[in-house]
Amino acid sequence: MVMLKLMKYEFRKQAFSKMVILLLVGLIELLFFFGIITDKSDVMGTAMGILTIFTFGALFFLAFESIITFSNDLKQKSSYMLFLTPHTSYSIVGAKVLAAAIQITLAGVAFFLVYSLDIAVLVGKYNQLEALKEIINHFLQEVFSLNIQFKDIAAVVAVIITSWISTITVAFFSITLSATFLANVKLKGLVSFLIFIALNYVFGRIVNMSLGKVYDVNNFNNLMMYYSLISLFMLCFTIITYIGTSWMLDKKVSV
Amino acid sequence: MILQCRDLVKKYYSKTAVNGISFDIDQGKIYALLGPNGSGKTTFMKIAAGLVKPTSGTITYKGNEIGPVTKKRIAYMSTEPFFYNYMTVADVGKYYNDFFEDFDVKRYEELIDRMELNMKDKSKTLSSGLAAKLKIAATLARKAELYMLDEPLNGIDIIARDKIITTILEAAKEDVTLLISSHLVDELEKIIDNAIFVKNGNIALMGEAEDLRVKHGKSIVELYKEIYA
Repeated sequence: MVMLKLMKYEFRKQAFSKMVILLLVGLIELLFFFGIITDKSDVMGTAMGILTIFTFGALFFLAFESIITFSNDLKQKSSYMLFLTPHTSYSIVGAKVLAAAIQITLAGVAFFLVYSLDIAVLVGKYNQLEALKEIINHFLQEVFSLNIQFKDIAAVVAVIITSWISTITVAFFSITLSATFLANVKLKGLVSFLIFIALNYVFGRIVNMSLGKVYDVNNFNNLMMYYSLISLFMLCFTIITYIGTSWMLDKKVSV
Repeated sequence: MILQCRDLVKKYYSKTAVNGISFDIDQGKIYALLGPNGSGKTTFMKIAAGLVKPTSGTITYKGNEIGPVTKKRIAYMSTEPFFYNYMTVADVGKYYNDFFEDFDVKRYEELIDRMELNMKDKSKTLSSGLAAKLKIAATLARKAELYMLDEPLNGIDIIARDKIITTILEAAKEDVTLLISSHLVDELEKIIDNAIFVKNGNIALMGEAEDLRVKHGKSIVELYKEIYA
């Protein structure tokens, strides 16, 4: 319940950007459907191109915004609003991590649905897209003949999400470090950024050294196990950096 | 006593904001924390509110370390505006109601009305005077055991000051303690039970207001001028 209230305000703080993203996706879709109605393939192509670039940009922005919000909550006066509430730093950081995870997952699902809609409309409208359907069907057959199943795809999606969340918590950890143990260091922002890069590199190395020799990524029989283990590693890194961040906030941070 | 601090130190870089102070705050009294800007008043209050961690020393509220338990009982109002930019006056009330069990919504509405604020106003568009009134309304709508108000009269015009002081005094009940910091000493002189003079992070003088007046043969305002001149 406590976490839900904290999460509610995390969502509220970042609501404006979501509305802007939604509005821009709406405009791109309008352009796309204008192309459909007027049979202008160049308009459709342009809309899909913009949507593709926008998807990557928006997903990166969402992660970045979670990190910026955390940074602001340590550096701006509005941080009092958060840190005066009678909650432990573990609840506060936990709410931020969960809110970030939910936002990224929901955004991913939303973009998937938009693409699905666009492709369904294209396939439905144009018979010449039969070729595209065949390519997709062929691809799926290839995939399934290699014994790649939905659970494998789910494992890959899990890796993407857990890696993303791990990156965010590593950023939280680095920012908190710069506000505590590095508070008296010159260029602490740069130092914390270097720590962020270094930690991500070290975590990447740990995964590669642990799993690289055990599983051959080209051996598709091991795909699900391989990606599940990566997710497990990412989850561990998330927990470690979450606990480290919360501990520093509890013991050291002054806002 | 309810708030107890011993050898409390807070250093920022090479600057010492609070320099080993020790004192107790008793229940049911109004304390003035006096001193010019930079004397360490705000840092002390932030430590007691749990926003700043001391470099060394201890501070407890009713035997509890400062943390979630004490934050439920202590209402702190900072001197700076601190509400989220997106918030309206109504949003501030909802936020406090969501997080503080002792928040009284009806009291908040009453105070907002008294302060001539509008529930629909955005906090970031308020003038400094209205923003100060909003902080006071949100803080005093809590039924806390200890209120710590940092410069509550800052930005308040001379006409509205009496209204603010009356509102503050309404919170002062038998079991409620108020710690008010201000450099507007003459405004506080008439309402305080105790005075703590802070100078360069140290306690320069402290005691019951009446005892200080009798002992030194001076008013609190005169003592202030003598200590900080």
